[in-house]
Amino acid sequence: MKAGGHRVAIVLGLAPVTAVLSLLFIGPLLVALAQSLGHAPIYGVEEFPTLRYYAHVLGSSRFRIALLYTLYYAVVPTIVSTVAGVALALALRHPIRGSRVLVAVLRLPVVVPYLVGASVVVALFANGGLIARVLFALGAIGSTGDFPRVLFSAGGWGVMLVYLFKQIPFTFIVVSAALAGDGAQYEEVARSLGATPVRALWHVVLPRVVPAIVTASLLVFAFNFQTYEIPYLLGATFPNTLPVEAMRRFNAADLSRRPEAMAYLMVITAISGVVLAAYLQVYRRWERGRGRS
Amino acid sequence: MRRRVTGRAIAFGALVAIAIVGCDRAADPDAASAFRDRFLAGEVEWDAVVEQARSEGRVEFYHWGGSEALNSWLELIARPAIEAIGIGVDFRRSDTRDVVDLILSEIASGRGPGSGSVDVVWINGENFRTLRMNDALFGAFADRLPSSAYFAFDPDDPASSINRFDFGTPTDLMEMPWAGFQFTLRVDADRVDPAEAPATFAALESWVRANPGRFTYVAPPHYIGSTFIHALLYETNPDSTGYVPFLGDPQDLGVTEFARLIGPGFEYLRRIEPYLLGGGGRSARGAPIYPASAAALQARFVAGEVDFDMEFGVYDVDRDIRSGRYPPTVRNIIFPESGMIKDMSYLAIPRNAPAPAAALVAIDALSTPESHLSKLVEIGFAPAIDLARLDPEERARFLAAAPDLRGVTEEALAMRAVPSVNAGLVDAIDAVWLEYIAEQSARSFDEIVLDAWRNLGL
Repeated sequence: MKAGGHRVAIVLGLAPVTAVLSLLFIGPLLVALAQSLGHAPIYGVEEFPTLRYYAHVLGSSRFRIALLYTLYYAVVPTIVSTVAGVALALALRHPIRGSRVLVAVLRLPVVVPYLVGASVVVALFANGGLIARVLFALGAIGSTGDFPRVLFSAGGWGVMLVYLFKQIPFTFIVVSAALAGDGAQYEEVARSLGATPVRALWHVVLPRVVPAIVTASLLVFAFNFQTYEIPYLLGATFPNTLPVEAMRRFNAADLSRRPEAMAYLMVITAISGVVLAAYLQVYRRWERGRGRS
Repeated sequence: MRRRVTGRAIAFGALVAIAIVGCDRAADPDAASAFRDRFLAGEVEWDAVVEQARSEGRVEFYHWGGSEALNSWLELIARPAIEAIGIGVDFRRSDTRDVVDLILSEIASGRGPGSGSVDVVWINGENFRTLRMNDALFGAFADRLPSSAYFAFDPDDPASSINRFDFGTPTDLMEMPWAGFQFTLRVDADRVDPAEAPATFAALESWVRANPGRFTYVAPPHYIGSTFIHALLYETNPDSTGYVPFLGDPQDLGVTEFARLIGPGFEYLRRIEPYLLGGGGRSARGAPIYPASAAALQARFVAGEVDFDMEFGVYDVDRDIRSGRYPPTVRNIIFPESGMIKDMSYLAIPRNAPAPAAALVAIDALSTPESHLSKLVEIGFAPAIDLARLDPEERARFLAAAPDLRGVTEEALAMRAVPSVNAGLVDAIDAVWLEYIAEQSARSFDEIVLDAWRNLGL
């Protein structure tokens, strides 16, 4: 009886969050799913259920190219920001001269919106940007057009620069918080028992922050995989990412193309979900291997 | 207006939120339908319309919010003009496509006459076509307002054609002309002598070959890029019939004819690619840069990376020079001589407008000669009223008030004004561009066109 009442209290307590999540997240997802399967009477499409929109999307070469680029733009910055963010957090885990200032500066990009990051990258790295103009004024390049192309190219350097600008500090903060938490003294214990600094780092400090690293990199990857504005603004016209392709279809003048856009969205959601689930699975196996669960 | 901005999902969410909040003032649907039928049949005196507008109280006016100049004008000039009649107005900034979505989803969910959330929407092109095809418009009201006397609607009047066809879709008086926009290219006289600037696409090709890397255009499907390509297709039309075949309905045109008409234009676009910004001259160093928006191209133009800018609106060169956005040496040029696309934007009323009488009164207040004159003087929006219908004194005020055209004349622009392509072709042309030009697809041109065509009715 008592346990039952407890459960009711939990359900009631979670109700506000569940309601908001269902309304704002699950609802639209179901609508998108229905539209991608051909149920969109507002746009004059009523052929539910059909898989032809999925067949059309998955069968096109543009989809495969966009998928490769989406993975590329998502995975590379995730690896770089994880490595750099963890390294910074480790380097700054004990106060050193000037580290307070450095930490404050590192935290700054987290509060700056991505679009501002994009403007910063354009102002600096565009061919008419600050760096190109300075190099031109110094005579290092013959014209601003000779400055190597960082933005608007398939290489995606501009896109990835913005991601790194935000995500290295993000990873740094998450990992730093984990380092500062309970158990900071274990490293000293290990050292006093004779472990070398490297061994203490590898066997004591790092394992303690792995959950934080996994969380940070999961969030970073999920964002990079699904974001639209940054690749739209700083990527090439073609090739570009899946969200940009989806938005293009969503914005087509002919509203009866919306189901195709929704099929894109469902595929993006599915791929991103599968990748994240696989990553979590690997992590859990690692945890089990260490005797945690 | 068919303007496109990012952050659309957020904007749409906000719109839905506004609509949900606005639910409480849903009127009696039967009364709303009855008013509509009687008004469209000409059975309601204008005084009675104004009276009903006052009892409705407020008009919800949705407009594309990307022009700061327009936003200020609406708040500072249009608001007092509407409030003087005794009705309130809410100006809602939004992407037009989102407003169309909102109207259609409301109607689909059973919110019919009198119970929607949009009273007036600034609109044209595909968005109007979408509302019209879905029977989501109030009806043929444009000749039933007191201000209608200043507009040309009679098919026998040659000045009426720009009011009667919106991207090839007959308007049938379901939207009120509001502002005309002509597409122009601009140069900075410090860098390119306007007198020697190319005046045809053929001349532009020679120019880009002589000046590699100094030209580019906005990437379709942004409407500025699409319009640039439409103008090119008119000039390179193999039959030399210009815009004529592009006005009709896609079904009447047929895909084979469509492919034949646009072929030379797309060959041209491939030929000039190596000479565009980032195209790497003769040694193909990389794909050219096609800015994603008009603002992105303007930024490159102002930064001196390219020598040409392009936009809709012949007066905004003057406006942008005065606001400091352009250097004072920027000039409009006549390009291409064969035809400079001009289109009209309109004010429309959705079928489920919650305050239809207030919508009619507000549109009337914004369609007076004074209102169009003020819009011209303050923010450089070309008037949609027919100047020939004004008395000589008023006409002279309009002519005297027009901002500096910065390098071109009204006559030269009017002489070359041509209509936009049929709204039903816009997507197909954009799709061909994306695959044939941006993607550099290895498939044959005919295959690409066929696919784009099939997707029209996908």
